[in-house]
Amino acid sequence: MSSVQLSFEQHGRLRRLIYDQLGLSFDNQKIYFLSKRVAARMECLSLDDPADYLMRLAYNDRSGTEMQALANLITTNETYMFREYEQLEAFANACLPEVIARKEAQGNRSLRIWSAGCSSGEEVYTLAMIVQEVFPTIVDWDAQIVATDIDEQRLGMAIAGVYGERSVRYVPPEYLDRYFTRQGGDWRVTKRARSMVSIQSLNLNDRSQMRKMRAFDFVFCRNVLIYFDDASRKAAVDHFYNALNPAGFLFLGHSESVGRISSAFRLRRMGEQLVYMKPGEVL
Amino acid sequence: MSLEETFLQLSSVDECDRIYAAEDIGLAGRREGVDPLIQRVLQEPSQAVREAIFGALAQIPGDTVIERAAQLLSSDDPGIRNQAVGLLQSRGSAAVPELRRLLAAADQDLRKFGVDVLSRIETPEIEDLLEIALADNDVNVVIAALENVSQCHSPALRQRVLRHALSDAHPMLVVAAIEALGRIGDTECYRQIRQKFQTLEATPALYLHSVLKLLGTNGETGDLLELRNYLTICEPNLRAAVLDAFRNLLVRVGAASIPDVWWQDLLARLPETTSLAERYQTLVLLGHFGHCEQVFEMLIAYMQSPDKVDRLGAIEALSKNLLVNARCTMRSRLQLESDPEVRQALEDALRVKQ
Amino acid sequence: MSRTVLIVDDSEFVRNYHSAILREANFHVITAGDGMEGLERLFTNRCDLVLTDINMQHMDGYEFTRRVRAERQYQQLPIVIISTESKTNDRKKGFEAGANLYIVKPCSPEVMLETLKMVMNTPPS
Repeated sequence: MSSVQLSFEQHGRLRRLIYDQLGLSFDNQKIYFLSKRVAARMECLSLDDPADYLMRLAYNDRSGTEMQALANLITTNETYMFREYEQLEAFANACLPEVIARKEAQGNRSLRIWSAGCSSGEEVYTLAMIVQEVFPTIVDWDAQIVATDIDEQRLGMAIAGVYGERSVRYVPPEYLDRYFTRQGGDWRVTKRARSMVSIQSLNLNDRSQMRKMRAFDFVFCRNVLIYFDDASRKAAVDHFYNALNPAGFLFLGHSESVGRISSAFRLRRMGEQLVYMKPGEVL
Repeated sequence: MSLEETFLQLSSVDECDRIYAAEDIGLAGRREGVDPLIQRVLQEPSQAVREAIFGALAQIPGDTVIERAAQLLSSDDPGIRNQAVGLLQSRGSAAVPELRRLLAAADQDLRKFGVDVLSRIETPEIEDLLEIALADNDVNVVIAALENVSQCHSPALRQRVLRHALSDAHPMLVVAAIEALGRIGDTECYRQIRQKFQTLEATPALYLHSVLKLLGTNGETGDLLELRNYLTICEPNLRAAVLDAFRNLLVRVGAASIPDVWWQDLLARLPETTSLAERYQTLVLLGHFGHCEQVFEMLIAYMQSPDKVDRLGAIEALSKNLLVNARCTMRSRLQLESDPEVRQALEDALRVKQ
Repeated sequence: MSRTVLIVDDSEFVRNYHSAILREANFHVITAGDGMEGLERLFTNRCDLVLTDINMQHMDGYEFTRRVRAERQYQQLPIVIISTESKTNDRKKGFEAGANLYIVKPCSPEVMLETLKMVMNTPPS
């Protein structure tokens, strides 16, 4: 891919368009990254001037097809453990303790987390490790992490729980000791890591399946909805809203904005992270 | 559950039931579902349910939804009004007859909503509808219409926009018109605007950004000198806009006509420039003068800047005319560079054959 | 140190136009396209004043104002609504939502700047 030269103002406009239509935010330093991907799209469309490409995105892309084509280039599919670490920190250090304290006070010792679009399971085992580390007495609770995906092959990998070096490269060494065993050159999750995990098939676009998902304290659906169209994205987030208990949290990818999709959630700041919570009052 | 039972569920005490009731009514896609949804949304306290209701309405075909959505534009609740705009937008060209009625409404707020709907609709009647809005006597309706002018097949539309740009109307309207000309204007429009604003120095501050944008998109080779001179005297907050115009104009007219001495002004300004945008733009522009030794050395130095954006600007500038020395420096930089984006830029630059 | 204004408006043109006026008067400006994004920007930046439209997708200006006021640390943050809607009821709703002032657009740069300075310099109630 060759690069085109966008002016700083054009970069700003492009970032705004991407945010408005995809809910993805890029900081103003991601100049080369975006230019390169725009260049690739311009080549496909036989355009020479980035101004023409921006006009197309802004005014002549009502169906969102071009923006989706760009989205496929600007997002990465790679999954690994402890991906988007700062967000997981907010979960571990702020959101999870808050939920546990509230439920403890209510005498309700249950915790349910949903990893929606879990792929090969890196996220769900990450969450399992975090929960057990932050809250060791979780063993006395009715705790469950439900991992779902539509791809049977990926689910098979999640059930097997065997990962290469690349997937575990950000796992803290002490966690590797506690939650994995070596299997040849790979790492296999132990029974301890799997203890609260349940893995099942689910299509996020299947209404009847989604309606069965209820009473979760956390929903994680990170870097999945960006590949959905507007209507499906909205429908999925509506289902997540219903799936959550009052004052439960929804986590999309760290650069995905829940607010672009629904304004029903309440924005909160937890440390340096912004998180979205279902309102606590029953309406 | 029958549709009638679903209507009753819209009043359930359980928010989740109300959301799913709305969804089911939408999926049923029947006209009878419209009024129960509308009645519910007007009294619904939950934002989530309101959003589900409007999502459901969007799925029900037929004109009833369009009529009801237009009625909701008169609601006291801006949340409902805004959702109604979205609903009309989702109808595409089927909403055009209703749009014509809205654009003829006595209430200017309704006429403005009509233009807001128009902004997201594809219809062969777009220019006709924009012409109606551009002739409106309310300044906000006209401004909203100007924002949506993006293609122009009729000289009449262009002329109307030009008339607004040349008028003594509210500055916000004039600025909107000038910006619209940046998208649809031609050489003649540009010349007439420049007759109104003959020099950048004499252009009132309020209009400068839009005139600079127009200069960048429609200006001519002779304007390069004016931009260069203006850069030496303009207010600091305008420099990024001037550099942008410079850059856009160069893309169109080419850099062959720029005297080498121009780089001195750009270079002199660089060390004192604190704005990220401005430094980046300046570095990229200096790429046109990379054959000058002093510029070349400055760009090489900026490739080691602690600021990532500086490094990217320098790489982009040096990539214009990749000399042997630059390639060596880039290879050295690649050994030390930890930012993945800058690494990618270096690798791509080095991959380009001489 | 220059003061920071958050401009919340769904029109890119309006955001740019008002930004230019404020930057020329030495304000630092950040922008958002609707109320939800406005909250996101507010929570991650230090702002001295908010200038918000009313009619925006996802979250309107009144709801945005209410949600800002619901946060303890923003009780005294000056909020000015600037809208095309000019009816008395619109103003009333603005004040009920918690705005400090309501101005009708388009307004002249002088009116905007005087209004902002006045609101910023008014002692907290």
